[in-house]
This record gives sequence, C-alpha cells and structure tokens, in this order.
Amino acid sequence: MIWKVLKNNIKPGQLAGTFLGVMLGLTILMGALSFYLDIKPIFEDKESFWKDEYIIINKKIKLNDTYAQMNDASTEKPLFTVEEIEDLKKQSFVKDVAEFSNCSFMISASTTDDSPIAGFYTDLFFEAVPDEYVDVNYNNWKWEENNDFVPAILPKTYLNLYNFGFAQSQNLPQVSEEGVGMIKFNITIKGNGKRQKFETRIVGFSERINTILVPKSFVDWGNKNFGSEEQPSPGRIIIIAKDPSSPELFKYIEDHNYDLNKSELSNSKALAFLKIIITIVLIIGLVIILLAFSLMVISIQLLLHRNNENIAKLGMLGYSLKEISRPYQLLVIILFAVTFLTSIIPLSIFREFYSSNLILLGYENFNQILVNVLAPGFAFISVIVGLMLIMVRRSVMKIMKAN
Amino acid sequence: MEIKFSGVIPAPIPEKDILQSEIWGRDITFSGTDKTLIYADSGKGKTTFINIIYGSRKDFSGDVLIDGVNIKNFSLNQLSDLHKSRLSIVPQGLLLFPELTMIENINIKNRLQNHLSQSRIAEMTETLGLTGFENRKAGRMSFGQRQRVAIIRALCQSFEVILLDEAFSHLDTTNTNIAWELIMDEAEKQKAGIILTSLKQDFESGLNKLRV
Repeated sequence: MIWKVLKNNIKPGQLAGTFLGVMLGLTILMGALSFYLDIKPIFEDKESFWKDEYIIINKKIKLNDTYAQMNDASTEKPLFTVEEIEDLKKQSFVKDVAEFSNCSFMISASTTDDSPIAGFYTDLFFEAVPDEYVDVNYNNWKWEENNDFVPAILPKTYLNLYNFGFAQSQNLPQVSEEGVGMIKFNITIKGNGKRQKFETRIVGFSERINTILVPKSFVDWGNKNFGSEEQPSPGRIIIIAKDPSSPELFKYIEDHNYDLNKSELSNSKALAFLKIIITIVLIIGLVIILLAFSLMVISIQLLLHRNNENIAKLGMLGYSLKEISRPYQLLVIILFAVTFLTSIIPLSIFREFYSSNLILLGYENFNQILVNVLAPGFAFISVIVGLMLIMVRRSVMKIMKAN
Repeated sequence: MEIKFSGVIPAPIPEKDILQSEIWGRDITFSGTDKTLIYADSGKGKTTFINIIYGSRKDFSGDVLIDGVNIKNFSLNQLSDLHKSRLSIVPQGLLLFPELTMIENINIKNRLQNHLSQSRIAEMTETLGLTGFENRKAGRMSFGQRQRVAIIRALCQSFEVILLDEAFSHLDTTNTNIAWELIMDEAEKQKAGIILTSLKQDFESGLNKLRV
C-alpha cells in the first residue's frame, strides 16, 4: 500500500530512457569484453601475426657498396656496430633489441642416398636469433654440443617460391610443409681446417623471419670452433617496439638510412588500430553507461523529490527509513535486473555476428562461454545497483530528517 | 511516558509572548495519564509546542526530555519507533494522503501494528458518521470529515500520549463530543496521557490548563 503513495509522478518515459541507456551501455561493455576475450587467444598464439610487435631492420645496400666489395673483399660491409645498437636501445620507442647471428664458416647440405630427392647438394648459410623470437611452435628448438641433429626453420616464402615457381615450371612435385619436414639432410660445416657432419630437418616455416634459422647455440658454437670470426657483426636487427606504429620509430629508421619490410608493419599496425578501436568502444560503452547511470540517479532523485511530502507523511506516521526506502530500492533492483537480462539478447546477436566472421577468417576455437562475459557484467551492475541503493537510502533519510 | 520541558524557547517567538506564556522558558512535566489543555490565540506557538514534542522541530533552545532522553538526540529510527507505538498525533494539518481513500488512509497507519481489527475500525467509522465514505478519496472529503478520519487514524496505534492539535476545530458540538469520548476511552484503556491544544479555554472540565 505504501507504494501507492510513493509511486506518484513516476515518468514512464524517463524509466524507458534509463532502461535503454543502461541496456545499450551494458551491451557495448559486455560485447567488447566478449570480443576481447574471444580474440585474446589469437593474440597470444605465438605463430600468429598478432603476437609481438617486432620489426626487422637492416642497413640499405647501395650500388657503391657492391663496387667497393667487388674490388676489395676487406671493405667494411654495411653491418651494425656496437655503438649503433647501443644507440637504438636508448630510444624511447624501443623496448628491446635482438641481433641476428651470422655464421663465419662454410656450410653445405646434401640429401642421403635413400632420400626421395637423392643427389641434392647445395652450399648454404645459417642465421640465428634469440630463441624467444622464433615464431614457430616447435618444442625442441634447441641444440647442445655433441648433438648430431640441428633443427632448421625456413621462411614460408621459400616453400612458396619452390611450389608455385620452381616446381610448376620444372614439372616437379609440389610439397606440403609436413612433407618437407620429413626429408632429412646431411650438412657439413667447414672452417679453420676442420669439418664436421650433422643431420637436419625443416621443423617449421616462419612467416616473418626471412632466413634459414638454426638454434643460436649452434651458430655460436660453430663460430667459435670453425669460424673466421667469433662474433660477426649483425647485418640485421630485431627491434621490439613499444608501439610499432609510432612516428618516432619511422623517423629514426628514415634518419639513419635503415631499411625495413613495410608489409611486416601493416600487421602490427592493424593490431594497434584494433586495440585503439576496442579501447574507444569500451570507453563509449562506459560513457553511455555512466550517462544512463546519472540519468537514473536524476530520475530517482526527481521521483523522491516529487514524493517529498508523502515520504514526510509516512515518516510522521511511524514508517521507518528502511520501510520507506525499500519500494524505491526494489524499483532500482527490478529495473537493473530487467535491463541486465534483456541485454543478453543483443549481446548474443553481436557474438553470433563476430564469431561467424572470425570463423570465416579461420579462427574456430571459441571457448568463451556466455557466463564468462555475463559474470563481470553482473558484477559491474551490482556495484552500480549497490551505489544506487545507498543513494536512495540517503536521499530518503534527508527528506525524513528535514521534516 | 514523561515529557519534560525545561527552559524551552522556540526560535520564532517574540519576547513579549514568552513572558506571558506558562510554557516557554519554564519547567513543566507532563506525565502518566495527565490530560492537559494548551490554549492560546492564534500565532502563539501551539502547533510549535506540539511539533517540538513530536520531534519534528528542532529550532528551539532549552531541553525536551522524553523519559529522560533529549528529543534532539533521538535517531531517525528511534523517532520512527516513538511515532509508531508510543506517541500518537492528530496534526493540525491532518496530513492525510489525498490520493488514498478514507479506509486506505486509516489502514496505512493500522497495518504498522495491526492495532485495530477491521470491525473495530468500521465501528468507529460509524460512530463518527463516516459510514459510506470508505472508498472516497480523502482529497474529495470536507475538512470536517477529514478531521474525523485523522482522529480514527490516530487511534490505530498503541500510545502512551496522544497529541491533539486543534483536532476538533471543524467539528460541530455533537461530533466533537463523540470524538472526545472515543479518544478518552482509548486513552483510558491504554493508560495514556492526552495533550490537546485549542483556541478556547473552556473546552472540557477536568483538564489541566496551560496558557501558551
């Protein structure tokens, strides 16, 4: 019965506006959260291009360099000096710098006699990068002294060159990644008057490191025992950038006449944009929900204000603060509960929409259950409802005390 | 219940009125089943006096103690309890809900304690000549009718003191007498005191009289 005297002047329009605002904000918040949680595994996949923000740079090779090196083999090559690397490390946009390790010894590879491609022989080179920058998931990426087996990684582009260029024109069979992985090669390294044989196999294909990779320990060991130099200067460097799309980074590279693969950057730029967009969406959702929240605060305050007299009368009759606040608090709880439950519908539609698109892109493993998204949404709403309940109680108390 | 005034002076009263008053600035005690008539012309502070006891005015100096506790120190909940079960009132402004019917106005009070049965309420309604108006909105009743509704409502609770602020101002003599008897009966049953205000000094015999 007391609701009858407390509900005076409820404006359905205001309630509907509040309802829509909270629902919209909540849907956006939970939608963005759901999207983020769903694509997070893609970010964290080591092989995925989303992962690390690293860029490979080298010094530009000019026509002059070629002439000079042709005429005098001892000419200084465009390699990175210790000072240049130190300078790079000092830049604000650089998180870390890693070097490519070159071999200063000779390598050749051949196939065994029982191989499907018997009679294959080639001179070869290896390079290495610190293990954490290897973008291939292979558990045994290591080499220790006295191991006869050395795993190797080829750039994906090599396989494509062979399959779609060479094999097609020469009428040779095309091979899959797994197929190549099964072929064993013998490798021989030479230097300092010594030679030693090893065995290798292609354990993976790299999307971004454009060289023949072997574990760093193998290159270091080889340089020490067979090399003309123990630590050759690196020709290429990996930069781990704080933000790969930062203008300072480009300016630095430009100023120092370094070279980088621009297409590599587009991925990290895409990632940067995606992060920005998700952040903006989250902020918009938050702003909408806060606006809706303030609209609700104002509506409730107005409602309380319009019923000022009746609240005072009930107080005079002996109704307690709790009894008078309760109907308004129930109103808040019901409104938010209905809003929360209703927002599940647009949220599900949104999830359906993006997951069908992501599946088209080849990402299929969504283990994100709805509850994982609803739970934080519910927690957020609970905090807001809690604040509203306190606000209602305080306002009613103020009115009761003033009369 | 013992209500004790000591040196109470409400903020808005002129000094001349304080000197003539038997209440303001003095020490008085209302206790037990005391029945007191407070009389004065308009504007001397009768309603202020009632509101001070009821705890709805705090702009006064001096102390008002209810059973030894300063009314100014009552918490909101203590005040609610006081109003719910110990101190009843027929306020001068009646404070009915105009949007509720007569019977709803009575029940909204009665449901707090379930003090009276519906048949007892019907009996009172009949005694005061309100039968047939049960479902009429209070806003559409005459002031006299509303005054009777407020009186019935005030009896729908247990009380140790009942405050009547010019509760009979719009009633004819017959209805005044009927209402007064109802109140006296109920007060006697509950061994409660009565404090009423009036413009007239000669309202009833057998009352303590104080001039504001």
